[in-house]
Amino acid sequence: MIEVVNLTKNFKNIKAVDNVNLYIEPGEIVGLLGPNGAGKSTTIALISTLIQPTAGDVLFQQQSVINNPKLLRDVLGVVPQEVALYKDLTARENLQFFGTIQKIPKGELQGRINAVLKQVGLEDDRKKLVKYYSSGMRRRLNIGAALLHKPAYLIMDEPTVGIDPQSRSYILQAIKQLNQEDKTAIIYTSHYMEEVEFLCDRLYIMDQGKIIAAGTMEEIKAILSSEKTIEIKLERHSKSFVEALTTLKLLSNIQIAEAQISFTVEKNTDFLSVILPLCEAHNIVLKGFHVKEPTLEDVFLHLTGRALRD
Amino acid sequence: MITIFKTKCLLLLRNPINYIISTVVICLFVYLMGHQQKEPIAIASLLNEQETAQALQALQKISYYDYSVHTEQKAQELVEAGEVKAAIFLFDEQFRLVVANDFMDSALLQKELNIVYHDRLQQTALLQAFPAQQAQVKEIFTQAQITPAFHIQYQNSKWEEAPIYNRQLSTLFSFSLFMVIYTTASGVSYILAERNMGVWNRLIVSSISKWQAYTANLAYAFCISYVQLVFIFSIFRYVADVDFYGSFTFTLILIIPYLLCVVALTIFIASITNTISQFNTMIMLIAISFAMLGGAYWLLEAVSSPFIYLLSYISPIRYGLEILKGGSTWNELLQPISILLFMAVVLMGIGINIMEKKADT
Repeated sequence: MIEVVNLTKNFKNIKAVDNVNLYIEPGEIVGLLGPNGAGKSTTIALISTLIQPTAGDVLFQQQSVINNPKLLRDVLGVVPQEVALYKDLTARENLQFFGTIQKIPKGELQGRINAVLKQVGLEDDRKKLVKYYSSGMRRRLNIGAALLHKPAYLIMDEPTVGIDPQSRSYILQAIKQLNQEDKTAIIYTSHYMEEVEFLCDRLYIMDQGKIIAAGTMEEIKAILSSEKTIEIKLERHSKSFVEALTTLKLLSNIQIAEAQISFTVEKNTDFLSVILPLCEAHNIVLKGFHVKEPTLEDVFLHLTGRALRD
Repeated sequence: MITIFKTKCLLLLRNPINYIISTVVICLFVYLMGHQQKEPIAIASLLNEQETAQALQALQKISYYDYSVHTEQKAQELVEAGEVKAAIFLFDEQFRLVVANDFMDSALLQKELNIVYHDRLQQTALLQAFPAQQAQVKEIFTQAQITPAFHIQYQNSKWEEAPIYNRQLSTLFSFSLFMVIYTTASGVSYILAERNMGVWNRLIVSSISKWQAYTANLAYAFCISYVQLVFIFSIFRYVADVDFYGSFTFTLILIIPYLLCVVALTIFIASITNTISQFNTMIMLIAISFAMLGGAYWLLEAVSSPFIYLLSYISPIRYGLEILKGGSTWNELLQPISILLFMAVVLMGIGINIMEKKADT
């Protein structure tokens, strides 16, 4: 098990990671969710032993890895956010390189390269230079390079950034499969709710360097179990209508789009008895409404007061 | 470590164009500089025909000038009109040198003329001391020059008998030492690029140690630079028949401390820059400044400002050229070699330290 204890990292006067505590057990997928600048990548870099913490510790099997990083590095694979590959080498040559520096025995290496190429679906393109790959193929190879030494723990830092939906879906399936078949434990950071919902057993939500919520998906969503999210569709809305709406104490987390407004209310609130007279008073046509089950996005909004991708 | 080195070589083979271009540019530049048309120099002489011929013979050791004899007034006019870069006025007991602003070889001409006048004044002094035995003195003097009483072998490059300045060789060394900085920088820039694209992090969390990653990259930067210099020098040695002051192999050994220093310098620059474009800009500025200060563009003897001359001591090119100028004894080589190695150790230490600190902040 990897345990993170009171981990803090300061960059000059900025507290990038503030007293973070988390753990990951063998075979589980743990999500680390938060907007850009929340401190996810720094936390990942600290756990990966790439940088030294200002305070706190990272424990692997109850032993600190701060002064003995090799302990963890031998069982750890890291998929960085950037495509960390040599673009003038082929997929096979890249894997050969990363496999050799992982000191995989020569006899095993070719077998592992073939297996990884198959795992990431690049067998047919193995002899192509990476610079001619699509961004989705590069992302897949980027993951493959971290799998060569069969790590028991895999850290993935936003591995689907900037790729098409098809490649994204392929990667997510591959990660799920990796976890189920090889029992690889995965720490997955993302600011895509749907990815985290699809993959993760447990979840940590980060904002401004702190863990603001933790638990299983159900536990996290239960934070909003006493509330419901309403989306109303309007023909148009006016400034005075919005102003009147925001003064209503019954509503919270009001999000205004062009012809759609969403807000949160207490579970048993009769919101229509409030909204309909307001529409009538401001001469606004209500085209429809939708009552939503709370999502992670709603939870995040509830916890931080802002949308995840703000 | 070998894997990293081999991979870098493979990447160079996949994309060799810059390496080839820089090699060709050095060769072409040196070749053209060595084969440019001879520059004219005017000579006005008040000496007799035989003495003028002797002086001309001495000056013709500097083979890239074309000497023509004129009247004193004509020689002066030619310099003023810019038709010649220099005029030499030979008088009985002294000479005068009139040169254009951009003439770089004054020191060299002076050196040759000093030798001529040294012998000449010595003979005049003897003749004056023994006015009654002029014929005898002349004969003894000539005899002494042909068969001196002592055979003195000078080992000091500062002495007049040291290997004569060879412009093509000097251009070859200057330009090679300057241009090779860019080659070394291209090797070291991998560290910066790998840090930016995340490959470096992969190396760090792999089974190899940090020092192995650094060593492999620095060894690669050193080797591509060394191979480039060996290739260029070999072309001039075996194709253009340049003699390298008679010690080609020794020259190839002597460039090692210079290259070590350049590798350290580039790693230092990489440590204080954040992006490849910043690094390239810095390298360009530093390389050109050091080439100017270190005597790659012009002879240090031509530098008149004491401050600029003082600044030349921070340029590794100065010490590189000092090592390669030929005719130096081991003792004389020891100082520039030690300075280069000292600079290498200090810059490397600071550079890697800053890089590691930056990675953690």
